[in-house]
Amino acid sequence: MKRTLRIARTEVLEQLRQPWMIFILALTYTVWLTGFGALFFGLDAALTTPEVAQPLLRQLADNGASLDAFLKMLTSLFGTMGFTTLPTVVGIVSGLAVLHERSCGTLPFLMLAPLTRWQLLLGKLLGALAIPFVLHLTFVGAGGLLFVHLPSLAEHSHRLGGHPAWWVANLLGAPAAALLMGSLGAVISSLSRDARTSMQYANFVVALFGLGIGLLLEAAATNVALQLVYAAGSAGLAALAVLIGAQLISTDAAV
Amino acid sequence: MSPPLVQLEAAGRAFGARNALRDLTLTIGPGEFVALVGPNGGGKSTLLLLIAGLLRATAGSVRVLGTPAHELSLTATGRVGLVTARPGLYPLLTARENLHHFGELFGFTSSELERRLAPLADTLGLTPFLDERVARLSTGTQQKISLVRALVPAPALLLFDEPTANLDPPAARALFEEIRRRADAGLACVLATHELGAVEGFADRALLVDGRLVRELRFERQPPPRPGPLLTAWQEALAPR
Repeated sequence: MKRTLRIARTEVLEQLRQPWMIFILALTYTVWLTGFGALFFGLDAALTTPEVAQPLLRQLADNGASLDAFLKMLTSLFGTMGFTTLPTVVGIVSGLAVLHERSCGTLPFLMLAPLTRWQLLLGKLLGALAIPFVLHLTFVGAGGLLFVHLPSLAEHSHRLGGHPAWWVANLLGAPAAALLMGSLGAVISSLSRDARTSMQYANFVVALFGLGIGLLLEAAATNVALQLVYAAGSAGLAALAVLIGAQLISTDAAV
Repeated sequence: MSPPLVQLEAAGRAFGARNALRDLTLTIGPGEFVALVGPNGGGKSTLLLLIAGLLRATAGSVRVLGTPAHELSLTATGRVGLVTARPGLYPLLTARENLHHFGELFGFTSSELERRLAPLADTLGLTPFLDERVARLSTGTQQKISLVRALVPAPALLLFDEPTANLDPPAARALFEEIRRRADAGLACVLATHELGAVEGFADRALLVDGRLVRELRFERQPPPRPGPLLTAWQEALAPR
């Protein structure tokens, strides 16, 4: 475990030496938190002011939508964004992690150290997870705490941190999904010969989440047990991916 | 006579249908400085990687310190050091952080590492650069850091894959002198290189490799060759970087 943590520590240290990378990641969270914040607070203010609420409701009705459906869609989108950003970011960073060792020329020296392949993959994975997870906790936590008490969104508060299932999803499910996406990324990265292969994986992760894995949350929005099953399943699959990946790169890996 | 550190018996390596090396039998003992010379693509680097255990032989056997080479990293921790043409360091980390990273992977504590690092860094003139980021250091200095990384675990065998390929002549000569000193101190050193003059001046043996062991030459040990006038002028007129 000590060696795994050493790999993770160096990965984090390298990321900390690239403040622009962290800035852009934080900016991503800031943009969607600010966007949803403006929307939610704006809507709340509008709906409590009859002269603004009436035309808004009329416009929705003209478009065949109910206010409830509209708020459900928005709050669900907020949850999905919060949930999927972490696995997407970790998947992309991990997708380049072992490749980074190859391009630095450090891989042969890691292979000479008494370090198993799964320790290497797990270390890279944990290192890729650390900083994005801190940002995830900060922004998603802040979002949940800010929006959950808005009176006009009370009906939908379970999608804004008002239900234990939401916290299980974001505190356990999202990092577990990130481990899964990251472990697959680390394996792809170790098989890649240059960044183009890894970038295809990034594309795959984005597409996968774009297709709606995060929306699975909706089906279990108020079901703690199901969220726990999702988290445990993702973590288990991540462990399996690391073990299979370690086998895949066990021969002539440094060359 | 000491038992061989490296023992290859009819060893070979194929990449698909292409034989990069075949039928190689040789032994290397402690304190020997062996140079691998030959054309590009002749299999020198492949031979080093086989000895390092980073490639598996597809024929015959490769044993290092009495162990199959591919099991070395787990059984003979740190007993084989490697220096390659690319220093293989993290550019955003300092020299010290790099050395701690690899040293801790070998199981050393931070204080143990500092104790081992200090004399090595001092000998190689690295002390002023230890807290500089690697990206800001010259290739020659990076190569010295790479050498320190290989030496920290006190290896019995040092492998060099064209370590002077990116070095200026004084730095290359200094590296050859250092390898000679290490060999004299009992380390087995195996070096793949194209620097024939330096090989003749510093090595004990040269193996001419071109897909197989073509010829072996032994050199009489003599005092190291004196630098030529151009190298002397360079060393005198230009400060090392």
